[in-house]
Amino acid sequence: MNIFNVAKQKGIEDLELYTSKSQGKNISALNGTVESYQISNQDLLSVRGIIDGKMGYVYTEDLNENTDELLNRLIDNAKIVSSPDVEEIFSGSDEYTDLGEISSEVVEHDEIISMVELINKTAKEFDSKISDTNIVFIENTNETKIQNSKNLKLEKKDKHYILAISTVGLLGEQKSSAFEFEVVKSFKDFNPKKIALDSAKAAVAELGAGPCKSGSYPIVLKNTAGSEILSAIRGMFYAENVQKGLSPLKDKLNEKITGGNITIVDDPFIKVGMNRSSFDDEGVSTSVTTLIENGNLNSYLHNLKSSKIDKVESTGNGFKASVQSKVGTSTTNLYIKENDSSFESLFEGIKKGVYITRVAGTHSGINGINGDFSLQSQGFMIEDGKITTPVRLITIAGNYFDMLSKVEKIANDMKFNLTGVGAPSMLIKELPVSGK
Amino acid sequence: MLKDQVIKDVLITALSTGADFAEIFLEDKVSNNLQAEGGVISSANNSHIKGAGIRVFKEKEVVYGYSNNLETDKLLKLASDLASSFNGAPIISEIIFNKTSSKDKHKAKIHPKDVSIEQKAKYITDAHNYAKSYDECISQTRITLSDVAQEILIVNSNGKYVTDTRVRTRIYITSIASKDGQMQTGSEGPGGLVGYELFDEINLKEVAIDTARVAKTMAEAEECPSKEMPVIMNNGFGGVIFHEACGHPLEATTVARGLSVFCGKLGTKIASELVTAIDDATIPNAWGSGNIDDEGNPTENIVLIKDGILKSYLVDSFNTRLMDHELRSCGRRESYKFMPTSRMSNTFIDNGTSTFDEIIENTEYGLFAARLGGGSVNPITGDFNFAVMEGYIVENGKISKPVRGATLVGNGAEVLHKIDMIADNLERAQGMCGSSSGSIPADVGQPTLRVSKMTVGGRKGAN
Repeated sequence: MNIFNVAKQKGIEDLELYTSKSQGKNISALNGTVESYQISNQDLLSVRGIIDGKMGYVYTEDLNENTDELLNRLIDNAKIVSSPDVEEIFSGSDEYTDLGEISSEVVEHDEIISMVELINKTAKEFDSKISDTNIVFIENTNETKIQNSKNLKLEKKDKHYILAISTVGLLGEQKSSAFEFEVVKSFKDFNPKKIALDSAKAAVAELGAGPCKSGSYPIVLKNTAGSEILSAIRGMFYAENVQKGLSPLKDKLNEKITGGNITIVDDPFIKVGMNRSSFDDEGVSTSVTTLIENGNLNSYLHNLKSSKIDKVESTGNGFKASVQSKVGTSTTNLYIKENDSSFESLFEGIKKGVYITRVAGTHSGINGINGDFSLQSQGFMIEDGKITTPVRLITIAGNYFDMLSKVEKIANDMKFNLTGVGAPSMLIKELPVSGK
Repeated sequence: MLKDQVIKDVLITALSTGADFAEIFLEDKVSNNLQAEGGVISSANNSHIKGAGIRVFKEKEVVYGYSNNLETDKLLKLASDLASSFNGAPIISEIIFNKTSSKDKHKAKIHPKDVSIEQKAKYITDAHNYAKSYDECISQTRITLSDVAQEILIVNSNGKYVTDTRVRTRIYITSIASKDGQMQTGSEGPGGLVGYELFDEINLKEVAIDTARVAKTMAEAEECPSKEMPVIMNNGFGGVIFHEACGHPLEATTVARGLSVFCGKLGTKIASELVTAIDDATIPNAWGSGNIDDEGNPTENIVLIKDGILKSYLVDSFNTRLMDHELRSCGRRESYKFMPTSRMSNTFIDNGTSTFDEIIENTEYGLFAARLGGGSVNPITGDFNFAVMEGYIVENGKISKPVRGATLVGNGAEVLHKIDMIADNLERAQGMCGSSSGSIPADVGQPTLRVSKMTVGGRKGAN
């Protein structure tokens, strides 16, 4: 018997099946020689259903799972939920944006290997101080389907390729390491030479770094460092966190929370976006949401549950952290809008400052509830408008929204990180730096 | 989980093009997760993870494939896809299974399946009530209770055929205090390789109240100053410093590739002579323990550093092919979706001879990091960072005012030499450790110890 009928008989009011099929390939090479090769096939099922107004979840990878037992576990899980929130299995949006077909190209193993060899050679030839390269190539194809008892049937496909290189520089006893990556939807869009050179340059430039003197400095925050910080605080924009008292943005709608030059957007349709999507994990049509517009907090990000509490429409951000998780909230492709300053112009007129190229430990060094941060950082000194000596083992500290109120210039170089969060490089008036 | 003949056929297929080793890892795991905010259960989830990972070695190359489709033809197809990476004549054509079973040294007393979901929910509401009633500034709590029961079967072309059962239970409590516009948190997550006897072994009330106390103290604290100073790291979760700064760079994942700061340092002094450090996966029912590792080898107690001298790296079977080092039982993975690699289990710095009071009394000025949050390390350079969850300034040999928002940064190779006092109060604490083979349970631990100088980054600035 069909699972929807069995569920009805058991008293489950509404039921939804969420399936994810994926194929993956992962090649890792040390100094241009393949060290490991991985392939995978996944066919995963998450089921959720409503009983007495409460939602229960079950997840299985067992293709021979007993339907009866699966639904019994779902019922147990639904019954224990004590939250008064109103849950819903969605009947569908009026319209869904058509994102077109995914690339159907077949990439031959030899093409990948030649690219890996080229990257290694390019990085090594750049400078004799490059001691090692570690290159990872990933190809992922994913197909997601949602089918529910309200006759909703949705399907989406995604395919992407990731190329990442970690380059090690060596000078005497001191090592440096740099990381560059690229995410593309079609294999031919990779720029292997560019990422090889970028990472090699960074690794060499960082050699010989040490802490700088503690003090307050003007800061140029590189795009990739800025996106790591934004990535760690993005939960503050989720209405469910605001409602639970876990965000400092409560009661701040339509108020100015950053400088007027800051606009932050969540855009599910960006062509090269890591999280390109026409519907979320509840089946709601996705949309472009401007979170901060010229400094004003415009909107939170909603799923169905949080939108009901706030009596607004869902923004289509009801995503699961993984197939087996419950529906929560997530950004799609989130970014701080770039401006028209050139990257070079950010440094103009800085007598003494610090250029931060990387931050580490964002999962622990940022308080996700109030935005305070103190982060291990590295980069370079800025002297008389020029990038000079490398620095490492320093911290920069502040509060995220304070920092965004002190941005003096924004460059035109917005770049997304591997989780689909992007930022342009920015000049910040000053931040406390701790070193020696 | 699979018939012997099917396993044999899969391994032989994987070896058909000249590989010298093949292994299948089968997993059947049920996990339950309850989550609550403000004592109200917001979600209950049940997951059934089941699948196989096949690993094949040929000299210094490894290929790995995994799938949750366990039908014979699908597994054979996966094995032959993996084999197609090599082209040679088979060198192994027969495998004789040597089925061994050993006593479960960590058997759970109260299996999660024997505990009702109502009882599980009660632990959560109790914990919430304890934390909430601590003080009116406790504005919110977040609590998750999770249990996992994992059955594994590992079979390889050397004839190894072993099984293991691992039951783990953990409660994670976060209290949030709001005061004068400040929101601060305190968290604790006790757990073990145990069932629900966990709640007989911990004092839930004390744990919950402690998270509330930390949150309140930090909400009332000043911002931490930024500068170099001596740092006293408390016992228990303070051991995350060793885990990040020294443990990760001792894993073969970086050492075998010549990338670690500790390469070529065996038998040499890499730490202050006060430091003895151990990785022990045999501790009964500890969070990071097991009967065997995820390559099927019986777990062991590994002395990493003895009196400051480096004694051993953590080396899994593949990495013994890349470096000249004895195999350690340390091959771990999150699930069949990950190829195992060298990982820590329960890793800690051993007891010293000072006392906690002596360390405080002998510190004129410094930071007492009573509780650390998480951190991370770059295993190539050894540069690390830790967040201080609960900190105090020490002045004139006494603990004075609380400070918040501090981050400690340093370099693993350097900081190990700067440990100048170690107390006698070793404790372990639980964490989840992330690396290339996924997120796995690991204990960190240490007695209270002092680092003579470290960069402390706070929001207050240098003055």
